[in-house]
Amino acid sequence: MKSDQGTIAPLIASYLALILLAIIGSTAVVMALVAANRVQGVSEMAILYAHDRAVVAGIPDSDELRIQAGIFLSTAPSAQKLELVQFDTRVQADRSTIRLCARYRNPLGIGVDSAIICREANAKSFLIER
Amino acid sequence: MLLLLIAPLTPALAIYDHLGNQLAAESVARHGLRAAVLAQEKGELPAALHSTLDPLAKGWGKQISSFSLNCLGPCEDGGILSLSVSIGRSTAIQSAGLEPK
Repeated sequence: MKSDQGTIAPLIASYLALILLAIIGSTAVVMALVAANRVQGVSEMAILYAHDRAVVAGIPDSDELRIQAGIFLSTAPSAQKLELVQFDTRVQADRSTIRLCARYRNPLGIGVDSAIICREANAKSFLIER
Repeated sequence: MLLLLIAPLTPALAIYDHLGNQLAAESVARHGLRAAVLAQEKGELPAALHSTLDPLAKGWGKQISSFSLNCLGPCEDGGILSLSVSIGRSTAIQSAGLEPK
């Protein structure tokens, strides 16, 4: 009677590689989600700040909106944590919009080294009846 | 053999715990800041902010290590309010402008 002989080392190596891949992949995804949420949060707060200060009789002034958004982005501690690439503001009737782009650097240093995350936020004037 | 198979999961659990703390801190900071801005605009100093943040953190099954609320510029007249929240070794910061008077 013959018996098979061999090693399970390739099986173990494949298992460890799969585990490592799953850990790195899921970690990278969650960290990118956190970064995207931060950019979204900063853009929402920036447009609220700028809209509040640029609005006259319910209509935001386009130039003032950009200036105020710039002030927020250069002074707010949450914005200073981001590596801002660019921002654009626009006004449409009583609605202000900001589009904010920030660079995300992958702290794992594996795969995609860095990426640009862009997010948009709006603010709108409304009338409170007294 | 079993130890070799389970060993890689230990650092993974630590990483996931850290990421969970980070997600929780970001969420608590964001919602806590909204509560602080509303309280500030009503003229109430958010002294009881701890009682607002604790339930938010408990919703994530976490406990806040520390937090700080700071005003950049005049708090009463349209400054920037910042809330920093730490959970474990993860810290999140959110800032919002107060309504100008």
